[in-house]
Amino acid sequence: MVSALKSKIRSSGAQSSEVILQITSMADVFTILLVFLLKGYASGAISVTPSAGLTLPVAQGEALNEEVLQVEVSKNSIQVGGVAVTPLSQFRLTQDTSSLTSALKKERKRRQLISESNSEVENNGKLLLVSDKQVPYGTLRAVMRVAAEQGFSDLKLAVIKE
Amino acid sequence: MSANLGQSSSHSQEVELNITSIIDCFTVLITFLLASASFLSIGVFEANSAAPKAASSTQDVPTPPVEIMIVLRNEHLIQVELTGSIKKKQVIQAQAGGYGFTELAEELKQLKQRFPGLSSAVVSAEDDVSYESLVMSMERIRKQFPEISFGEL
Repeated sequence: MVSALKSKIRSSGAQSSEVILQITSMADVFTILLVFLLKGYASGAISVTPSAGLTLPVAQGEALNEEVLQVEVSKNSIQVGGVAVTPLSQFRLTQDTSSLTSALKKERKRRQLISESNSEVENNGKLLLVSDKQVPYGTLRAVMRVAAEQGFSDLKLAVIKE
Repeated sequence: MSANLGQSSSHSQEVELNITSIIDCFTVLITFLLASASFLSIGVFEANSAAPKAASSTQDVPTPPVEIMIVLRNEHLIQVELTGSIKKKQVIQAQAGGYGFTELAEELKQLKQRFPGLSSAVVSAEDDVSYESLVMSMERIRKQFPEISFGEL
């Protein structure tokens, strides 16, 4: 690139000060990067973004290829579809699960309505449980029990792939 | 990107393609894609809640001769319990301050050899057992028994 610049300056004469940058290789790098990133987008896998501070356990899991309801259990709250519904204190329940029950019931009803009007959407009772690795089983059991009562019995547990 | 057109003729003309605008577009696109890309690969474990499993077993599905239940207990103990035609209870002791997952894998391998038609297992744990321990046990269990359900103690 430097030699190209020098020759360009030399050939342009002593009085001309026009410098042309060779950006062909840069364009090539950008094209490769763009193809790589777009390919990652087109893989079909659903992206899951856990909340800040939530650490998932590491294990060998399968790819998630369908859109399902996401329930997140973190240090301070239980979230249904990204909305905090039940507060937690140090991963433990401090009150009953009635708010979680009503949120899941509402979500179930919403999905039922969507599936009735759109045959491509299936109301299959699947639920993605995104839980911090420190969450005790007592809390998880309460969440799973409420989910099963509301028809979400097919669970998918989120992990970070090894 | 430059090309010499009509080199054979006496009046050669050098044509420079202006790719600056393409570079600008690429820069914006790449910045956007990098900002929204997730570099953590998230996978999932499939499992069922215990209640619907029990409901489905009342239908035409034949009941397996034995049922396996793996319970993670406090003090890093793992209890493997067989119920049905054979009743057996085994406790795997803690190994190096943690759960004996290697011993669990070995025990489950032996059970699979004994009951090759069995593909399901029930997992449960005491209230204080962490989700990480549960996932680690499930990782071993699903290698032998891919259909995992959560049960009650």
